[in-house]
Amino acid sequence: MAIGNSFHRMGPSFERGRFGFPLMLLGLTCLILLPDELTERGIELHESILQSVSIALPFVIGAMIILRNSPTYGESSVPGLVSGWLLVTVSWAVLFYVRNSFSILGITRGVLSILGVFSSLVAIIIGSLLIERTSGLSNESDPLSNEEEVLVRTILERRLGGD
Amino acid sequence: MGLGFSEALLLVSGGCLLFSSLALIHFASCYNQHNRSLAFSSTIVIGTVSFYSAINSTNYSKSESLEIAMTSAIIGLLELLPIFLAVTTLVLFRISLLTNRSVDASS
Repeated sequence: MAIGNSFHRMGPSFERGRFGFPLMLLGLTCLILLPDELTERGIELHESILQSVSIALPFVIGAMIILRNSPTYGESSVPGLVSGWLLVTVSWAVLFYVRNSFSILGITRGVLSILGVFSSLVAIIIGSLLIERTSGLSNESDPLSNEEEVLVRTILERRLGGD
Repeated sequence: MGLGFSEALLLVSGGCLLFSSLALIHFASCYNQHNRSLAFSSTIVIGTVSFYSAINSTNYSKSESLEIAMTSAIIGLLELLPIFLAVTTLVLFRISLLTNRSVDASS
């Protein structure tokens, strides 16, 4: 799933970009349908992920419908808003049905995990900046050839409508 | 039941391991001929440091410590889902029911 997301984020300029979405779907399918020979921790994690997906999926779909039908971002539509809020309510109902207790200990665990994620993010950004700064500037690229100049001019004229 | 120092360290190092492994996968997947970035090294350093801190905070083998740290971190992050949903619901409530101002190209 992570590889698929990275491929997808590369965009259409790279050929591998088109494999992104199918790879993500394949990863998600394997995660949900083919959890073979899991350890005790793995089973716990798998159940937790399935629970979260069952809560998050209706919420995400409902949120998208609400945003599309809200007066702020699109044409205001009452049936759209009602259906979106219905899905959000379903998501909350599933949440209360699946998790009947919220513990401070669980939230503390989450906060500590997210602290690790953010500290890692900050460290990677600082490390990348330092490495990029010490590696120096690359050579300047060659100037455009005559054919490339004509091509760029044609594209700009077509886009901007100039003479 | 409280949260001990070793468990807290395990969760933080699990979070670090999780993000550094995702960053490593991202850098490796996006590698191309124009990419001269050495950002790989920072992710490897952070991953190694958090891996050793995860081993030190448990009494298990290396692979078991890695598994325990990462699963604990993912389960911990999923514990925050209700808070995330609550905040998003409040934002959606504000956008759809309390605000009547449209956002177009001119605004």
